[in-house]
Parts: sequence; structure tokens; C-alpha cells
Amino acid sequence: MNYGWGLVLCVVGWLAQGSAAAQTMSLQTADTQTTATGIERWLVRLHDAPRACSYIGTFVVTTGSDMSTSHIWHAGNGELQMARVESLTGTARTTFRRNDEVVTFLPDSRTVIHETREALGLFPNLLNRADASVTRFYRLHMVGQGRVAGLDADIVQLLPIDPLRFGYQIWTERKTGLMVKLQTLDAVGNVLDQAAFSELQLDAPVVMAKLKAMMDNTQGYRVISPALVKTTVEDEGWVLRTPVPGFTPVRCYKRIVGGASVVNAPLQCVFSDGLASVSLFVEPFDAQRHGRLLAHNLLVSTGATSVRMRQLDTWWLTAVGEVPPQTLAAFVQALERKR
Amino acid sequence: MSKPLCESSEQVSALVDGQVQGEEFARTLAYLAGTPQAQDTWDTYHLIGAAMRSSGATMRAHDPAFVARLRSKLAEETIETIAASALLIRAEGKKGIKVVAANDPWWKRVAGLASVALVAVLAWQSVALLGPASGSGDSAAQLAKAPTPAAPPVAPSTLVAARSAPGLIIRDPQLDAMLAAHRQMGGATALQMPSGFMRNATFSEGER
Repeated sequence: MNYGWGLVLCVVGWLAQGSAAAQTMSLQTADTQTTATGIERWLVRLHDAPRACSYIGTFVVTTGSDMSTSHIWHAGNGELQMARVESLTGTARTTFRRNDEVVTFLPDSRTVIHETREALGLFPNLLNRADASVTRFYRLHMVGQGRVAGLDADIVQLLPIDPLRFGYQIWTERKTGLMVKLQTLDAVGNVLDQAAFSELQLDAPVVMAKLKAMMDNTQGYRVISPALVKTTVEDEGWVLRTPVPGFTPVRCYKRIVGGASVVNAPLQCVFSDGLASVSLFVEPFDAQRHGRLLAHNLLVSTGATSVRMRQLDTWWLTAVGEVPPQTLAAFVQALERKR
Repeated sequence: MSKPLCESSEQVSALVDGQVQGEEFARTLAYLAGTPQAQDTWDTYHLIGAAMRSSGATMRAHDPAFVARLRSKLAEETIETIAASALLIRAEGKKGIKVVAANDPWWKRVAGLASVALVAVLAWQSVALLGPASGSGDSAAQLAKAPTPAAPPVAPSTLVAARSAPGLIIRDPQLDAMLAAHRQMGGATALQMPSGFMRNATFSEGER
């Protein structure tokens, strides 16, 4: 563990120096290239792990001073992945997932939210698109071994090469490669938030048909499917004047709530460097609502997640992401109206 | 009025079910008043409803002619006002009634006690509210605690309570909806994908 922190400090120290000498740079590039394939291989294994395994576990998410817990059933047969997540804290809800399809049951309001999260199953493509950023902006370090939920795990760090993103420390179960613990680290190695299994039973008898029956039984519930209209930053008349290093547009859409028109619906554009993601929201400025926010701090952070807001003429910009505040500031400053 | 027939029937059906509100309600009523065909539809839906609720009793549509006759007859009726002696009633009414006036000593005691209790509650509340240094930050925090309008259904469990550096709390349902939207759509990255779904499904930020 001490070795790990030493590494973090080394990297931070190197970053603090700012500009590196030419020979250090060439050495760094060579190092990046050797670990690049390492990162790719490691990410593919991480992604493939839950595809063909079944487990039951208790999952704990800690962010800032908050702790949320859920019970998880997961089944995978190589082709199809199904999961059931029953929240044990906060609002009662059960979330089911069948590959990209996500259904959330809210028993208190007798409501079901039906969504398609297209990225969930499209990993190889996404990796191809994002790998350039992952390998260019993060370095993989083997840290050592540890134990999580009574299982032996390998510990790996993915550390950023610039201060525009956070680092990660990841525990993967040794035999299956399943991610069992994830920490988000700031520049000096403080843990900003973490998610881990406190209990995990591998090869558990999870019956897919049973999960399917539960997921599809929406009787007595009001089913809501948010209407999303795909678009692009450019199509909406916006441009990122100075792109934020490493972050490329992933998708952009408008969410239509109720019978609202497409024109006034808030725009959400997601940017990612392959590991971290930032959502940029654009909506018309509302003096009553945004004025109140303007009077307060325009930056709020909790755990690794920050929100940065800005008024731009008649528009209101909000950047949300698990990145350092300065990255969000770069986004809200870079966006401008196309002429 | 140039709506297609089936759409109009749907409007009338929704009105029968009590699902039309606001401006739509007024529009539908105006349409109903001006269209005999819609009135027929209205009657038919009510007849269907009555038939479904009744247990086999014979059903028939109401007779518009009968209703019209009843209305005109009612309009012709004059309401007679019968003068009565107010004094007499008062005298009669007083019999057997125990006089309990608001200025009765017993009531005075109750009222006095209630007002003392009210003052005590108010004083206690104002101490609780204004006790700690009452700066603008505090009033903002109080404001934040006030009930906020319902968040959109996509973010059912949430209210942002993000704590920024100076300890300021911002609560805004819209901001919260954005956080939820980010978690849904932003959890698309290579690292977050295996765990991101579980993490987002586990995470609850409402109860803070």
C-alpha cells in the first residue's frame, strides 16, 4: 500500500514540475506505449468478467459522508447479462438490467422508469473510440494484492497524467477478474468516493428466467419512458471553442419531458476520456430559478462529483462530472454560440 | 370544432373519466355544449358506465325531452318566502339552552391558556430559527429546507444537497435531475460500465 502511495506522490510530483525535459518526455512516451496495451488488455478483461458469471452480493457506495447499500443478483451466460439491484438505503427501488435495457421500479409512487442505456453493451466499440484517450491520459500501475469481501484480489491503479481527471484504484477478483472495489482518487491520493462489495457469493444460483419475469411484471405500475431525441453540439448551434484535452463527444440528446417542445428541452452532451465523463447541459436562462443559483456559489462538489454553472447571455450552462472542478470550468468556458 | 370525430370522442371519454383539467377542460366543455353529437356521446358513455356498475337492472338512455320539460318546469317554479317573527324564534330557542358565552370566565381561562401556549411555541421556534448567527448563509439553508416543488418523474428519489466549500447547501430539483441524467448517460465509460450500473442503481442522494 505504501508503495502505491509512493507512486501516486511520484506522479503528482512529476505533474507539479509542469514542463518536463525532452529526454524525460521520450522516456515517458516509451513507457506509455508499453503500458498502453496493458491498459487495453486489462480493460477488456474487466469488461468480460461479468459476462459469463453469476453472483449475489451486497454492494456499498460511499461518497463524501454518504453511504448507500444495495443487494445485487447478477447472471450472465456469455450472450445475455441480467441483474437485479435492490436498494437497501434511501428511497425504496429495484433496478433491473437486461443488457442495455434498464427498468427501475419505484414502489412508493407505483412508477416504473424504462430506459435504454445504449453504452452498456457496446463496450468494444466504445473502447476503440476512447482507447486513444485512455492510453494517452492514464497510466496503469500494478499495486499488489488484497482481499475484498473475503476474496483475493489484484489491485491496480489508473493514474492520470494531467490534473484534468481523477485517478482510480481498482480491486479485481483474482480468478474471475470481476471488479470488486473501486476508489476514485484526487491528485494527492485522497479517496473521494468508493464502491465495493462487502459480501460476494460467486457462482451463485441466479435464475435468469426468474429475473426476467420480475423485470417484465409491471402490472399495477405507471410506466414512464423518457423520450430522448439524438442531436449534436453543432446541430444545436454550439461549438466547443477550445476542446478539453482527452475529452471527446460521446453522445448528445434532448430530453422531452411531458408534452414540452423539442426547441426548449434542455440539451445534454456527454464527453468522455474513456474513464471519466462530463455532461454539459444547456438550457434557456430562467431569471427566477437560475437567479437564485447565481446568488450562491456556482460550483458545488460532493465526493468525486462536481457541478459547475455559468450564465452565458440568455443561456444557462451546467457541467456535471466525476472530474476535478477545473475540468468543468474549462467546459463551461469553452462552449460558445456558433456564428 | 374541426377535430376528427374519434379524437372528439376521446376528449368526451376523458371528460367522463374526470381526466381533463384546466384549459383543456374548458375547451372540452365548450365543445360539448355546442355539439349535439358530442352530447350524444356523453350520454352514451354515461349509460355504458351505469350499465357496467349496475347488476343486471334494465338500462336506458335518458330522455332529452323529459330533461327539457323538467328544466322549464323548475324555471317556472317561484320560491315563496315566508316571513317569520325573529323575536319569537329567539325566545323559543333560548329555552333549555345553557348560556356559554365567549366572555364566560371558564372560556376566558381556556383562551388565556391557549394564547400562552401559542406564545411559548412561537418563542421556541424563533429561538430555534434565529438562535445561531443569522447570516445570509443560514437563511439560504432555511430556504433550502423549505419544501421544493416535485422533481420530474425521472429523478424520483432525489434532491441535491451538495455541500460546497463554504458549507453552503444548494437544493434544486432541476440540478438534481441533471445529476441523475448524468449518472444515467455518463456512466458509459470503459471503467464505469461494469460497475457503473450497479453503482448508480445503489447510489441514493435524497436522504442526506
